[in-house]
Amino acid sequence: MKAHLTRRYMFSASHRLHSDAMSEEENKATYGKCNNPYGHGHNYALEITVSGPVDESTGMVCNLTDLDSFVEHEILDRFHLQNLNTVPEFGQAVPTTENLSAFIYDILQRGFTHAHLEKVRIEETMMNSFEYAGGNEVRR
Amino acid sequence: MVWFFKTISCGRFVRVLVIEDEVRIAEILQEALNRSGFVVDLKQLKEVLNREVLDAMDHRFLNKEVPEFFTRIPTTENLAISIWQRLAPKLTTAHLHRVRVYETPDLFVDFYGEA
Repeated sequence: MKAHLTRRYMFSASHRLHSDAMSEEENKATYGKCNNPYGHGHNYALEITVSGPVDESTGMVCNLTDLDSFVEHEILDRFHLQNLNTVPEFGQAVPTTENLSAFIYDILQRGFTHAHLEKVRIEETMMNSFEYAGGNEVRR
Repeated sequence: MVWFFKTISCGRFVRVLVIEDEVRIAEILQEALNRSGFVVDLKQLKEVLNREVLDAMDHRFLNKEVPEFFTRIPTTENLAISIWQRLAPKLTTAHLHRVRVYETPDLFVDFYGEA
């Protein structure tokens, strides 16, 4: 039987929303106070949902230690206490939480092989969150 | 859609450790609104949930007191499946959409009744 497992992780990072493709005025108009040259920080909550058949012998979708260790090494080590604008893999992409969700989804999709990746959800603040499921419909 | 939450506590024997979990069960039931304007009569849902799930599991040692876990390991995945199997056949007025079991605030399992 197929079940979905969701794990929640916390990390903190800073960013500045600014696009080189736009003028200073356009950036200010688009991003408002998030365009502040010195950036600002967030305590992000990251939720990762994986799915798969529940193994009859272990009773598990996947071993949580595999997921925790992958996320710690491949995601949290990369972003926690960093300035997202300087994380090399981000390149020229604006580090919005939309882009961050897709970026984290891609890291998991490429490297995590112990279960099927369903979606990534990030709470930027208590008042807003973003979900990315690689173009698939998000299951409720 | 209607969300219905209930909290139960039960001791579990998992990977040679006895741990106490607060297990939060949430069901979403979706169906066309009936005459009453309810999706489902919450009183009836509560009765079914109490009888089929909570009476059997609340404050129980799952491995020793809940029959399906005499042989099946009481992981949160299996707990979600078991709760689904106990509830789904007994809910006659609405369709059970999902069972969510929180093992901790940062770990939960969803089961949609999929084979």
